[in-house]
Amino acid sequence: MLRTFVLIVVATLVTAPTRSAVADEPAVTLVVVVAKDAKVTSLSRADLKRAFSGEATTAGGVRLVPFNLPPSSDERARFDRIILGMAPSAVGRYWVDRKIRGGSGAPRALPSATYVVKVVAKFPGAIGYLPASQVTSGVKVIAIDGDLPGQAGYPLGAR
Amino acid sequence: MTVQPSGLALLAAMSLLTPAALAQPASPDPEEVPASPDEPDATDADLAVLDLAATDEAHLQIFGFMDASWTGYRLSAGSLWRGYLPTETTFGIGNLNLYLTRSLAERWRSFFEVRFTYAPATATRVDGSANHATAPDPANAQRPLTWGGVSIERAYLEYDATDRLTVQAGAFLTPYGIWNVDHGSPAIVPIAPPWIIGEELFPKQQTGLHLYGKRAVGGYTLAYHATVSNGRGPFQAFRDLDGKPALGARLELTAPWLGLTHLGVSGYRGRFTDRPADSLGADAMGNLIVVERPGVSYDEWSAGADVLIERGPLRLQAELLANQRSYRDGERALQSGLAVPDGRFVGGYLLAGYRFDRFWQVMPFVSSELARLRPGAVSHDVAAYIETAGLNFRPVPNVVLKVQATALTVKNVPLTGVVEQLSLQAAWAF
Repeated sequence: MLRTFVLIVVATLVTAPTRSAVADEPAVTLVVVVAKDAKVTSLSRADLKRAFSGEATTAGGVRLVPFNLPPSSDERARFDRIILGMAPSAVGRYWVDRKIRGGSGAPRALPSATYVVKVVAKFPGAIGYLPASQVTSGVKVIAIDGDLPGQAGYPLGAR
Repeated sequence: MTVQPSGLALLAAMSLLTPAALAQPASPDPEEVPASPDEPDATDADLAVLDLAATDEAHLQIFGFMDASWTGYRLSAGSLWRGYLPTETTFGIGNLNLYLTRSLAERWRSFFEVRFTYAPATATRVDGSANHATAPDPANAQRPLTWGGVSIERAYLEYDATDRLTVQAGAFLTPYGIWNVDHGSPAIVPIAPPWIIGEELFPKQQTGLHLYGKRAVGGYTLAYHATVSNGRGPFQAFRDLDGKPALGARLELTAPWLGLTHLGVSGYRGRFTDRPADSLGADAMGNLIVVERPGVSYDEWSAGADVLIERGPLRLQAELLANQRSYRDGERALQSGLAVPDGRFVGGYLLAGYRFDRFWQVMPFVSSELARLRPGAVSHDVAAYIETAGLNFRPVPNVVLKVQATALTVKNVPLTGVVEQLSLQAAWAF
């Protein structure tokens, strides 16, 4: 019985298609924003990943409260892939498994960038991301690993 | 829903103020999207009320997981396993676990997990007959109602002191290895835990204090756990019969090696004591005395090392565990009337899986494990070898379908032969 199963496993490994190509993503720059009067001006990519992975993360003396864009949005998929290092399917598994292990659930997903701007502008500690074109005066764009949008090392820049 | 502490008022109020959003159909993604898009005025209204609604309270969150399976065994003729394992194929409900969590205030969280079981109806009496565990059902003309029980898996209060220190007080899962933390059937790759995990070389649960935290530097994270508890015992959740606290610790390094590598070491030291209650009696002169009844007590230590490598779709994990048991004078366990010697239980497993992004995200997996059992009163050098191969499907993040075949061989025990098991399981989180 075990031998049959090993054969099935091997056959699956051999015949299954390889990972599909990543869909084309919009060539927009994403920016990470906090409230205008927040003390934080830059976050490391590792801290950004921790905050959006459900780990307690403090910056500028304030516990960060991350807000996501909807799981179905291209911006969310791109942010998750670049910052969290996970494809959309892996992100879903990650949050389900994390809750079963007793950890916190996923950051709250807001319905649009408009909401992200308003929530982040209102609450110290709130942090979100959105297309650079939708930034308003109520929020502040922060650097990632010291790089601001437009600089060479910025990870969420337009392609 | 997020339970980040400082956003409690915000999130609670948003949920209350946008009931339409809560009525959205369930999405495979476990997140909630609270309101319809493109309504900036609604957001303004929400935000205006939020300040008034800042009560530091959030909703009670209820979620959980369960699994149902089908299992068949093939045992050789005359195998001693026939007295322990079912010879018929069978369907069954395994886990039905419910979590209830609530953020009590900023940085404070209540968490508990219970498992509903059919026990004691699943138990057998010493004569082998079924324990039906029935009672007259007043809602159904007093017909027999099979009743079950509840097992408290975890129940603790958590205080998130800093980014690097969180304290849990209550009953928690012992932080060791990979498997005991993964715990839930949708989160684990095969259907059943390895033998050495099921044997609890470390206690599965403890009751006491659990301190943990982590420090991240660059791509590296060092996490620690420290526990002080009642230790192992028949009533460990509410009474420590020997009054000797058990101590445990774990260190885990996560590094960007070979993709992402987690290395962990764990240790535990404690005393098990099972002492029947003393009773009142009379001496030869008829005086009332307290009669002490003999019990079982041993000191134990456990050690473990584990590694988990996640390289894209590839997952490799291995654990090595050991437990040493040393009986105290006059409190040694008996087996068939003979004293059980001190001894060590050692075991380990290796599991490899590869997650494809097609075929319901199928993950073929294989595992191999070895368990060298501690000596018994009449058995020595008993070892078990277990080989498993299977497929783990995840059509949506909340649902996992598994099929696996397992072969178990026990050395140095006559008439056991090879036990073959075929199992299917559906596990889902809700």
